[in-house]
Amino acid sequence: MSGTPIDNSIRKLRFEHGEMTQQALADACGITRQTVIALEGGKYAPSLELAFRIAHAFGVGVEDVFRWRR
Amino acid sequence: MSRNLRYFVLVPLSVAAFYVLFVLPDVDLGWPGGLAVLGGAWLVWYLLWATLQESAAMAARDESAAPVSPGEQRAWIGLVFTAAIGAYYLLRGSQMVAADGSMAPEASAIGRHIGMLVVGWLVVMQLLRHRWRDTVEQDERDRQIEARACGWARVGLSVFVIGLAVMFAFSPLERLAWARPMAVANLLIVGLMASCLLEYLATGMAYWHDRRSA
Repeated sequence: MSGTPIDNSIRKLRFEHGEMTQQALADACGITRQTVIALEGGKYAPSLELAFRIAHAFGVGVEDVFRWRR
Repeated sequence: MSRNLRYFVLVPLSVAAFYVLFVLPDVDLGWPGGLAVLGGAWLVWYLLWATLQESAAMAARDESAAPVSPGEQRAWIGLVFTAAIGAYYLLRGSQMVAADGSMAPEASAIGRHIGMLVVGWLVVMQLLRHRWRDTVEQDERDRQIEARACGWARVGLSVFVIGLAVMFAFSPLERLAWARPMAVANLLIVGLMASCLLEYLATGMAYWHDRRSA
């Protein structure tokens, strides 16, 4: 899967939330750990629903997690 | 023994076990010999399976390593079993056609062996599903990868069917003497297996590529 034009702060937010593991985030969002790794590496652009789930898991807004790369 | 060395020994042994058990001409070894061959083959496959599971468990525990997701495991296992069935079919499929083009007596034994491989595949998948019962088996990314691989398989199957149609439409009749019912049936099954193989390969490669560059 090629890179996406969407940047994200998932890794930073995980560490700000008590060093949350990738598996813990995956369980909270109902996805696999490999998908979390692909998201963090910018290899996969999530659906709108998944973007909201991830933002909800961190208790922040979607725009605080994902940004359009200009 | 290190895991790499185990793979180095067990992978060729597994292929050899498959060859001895399924492809070699039927040689009567008596019941002790037959039992020894069957037991040896299952032991080698079990050891390979255990080594693969050990690698998967290690990757799952290690936060710095990218794990093999259920979707990827499903793809590689599907690829191995489809390749095994395809290889067996290519090596012995011609024995299914009798001289007059009808079904040969060997066809039922060959069909039974293929059935055994399919049952083995189902058992392995059932064991894995049991292991995955507390984890997410598939998410939107898995579905996207599967849909893309399915597209590749559809293109492959379309090319095969168009090629077959062109060959039958434009070949002179005397060059189609081989195209008896059983031979055409075998050819269609080979095409179907090739498209499945392409789908599993495309799925596995997509996961592997993502994991490698993570």
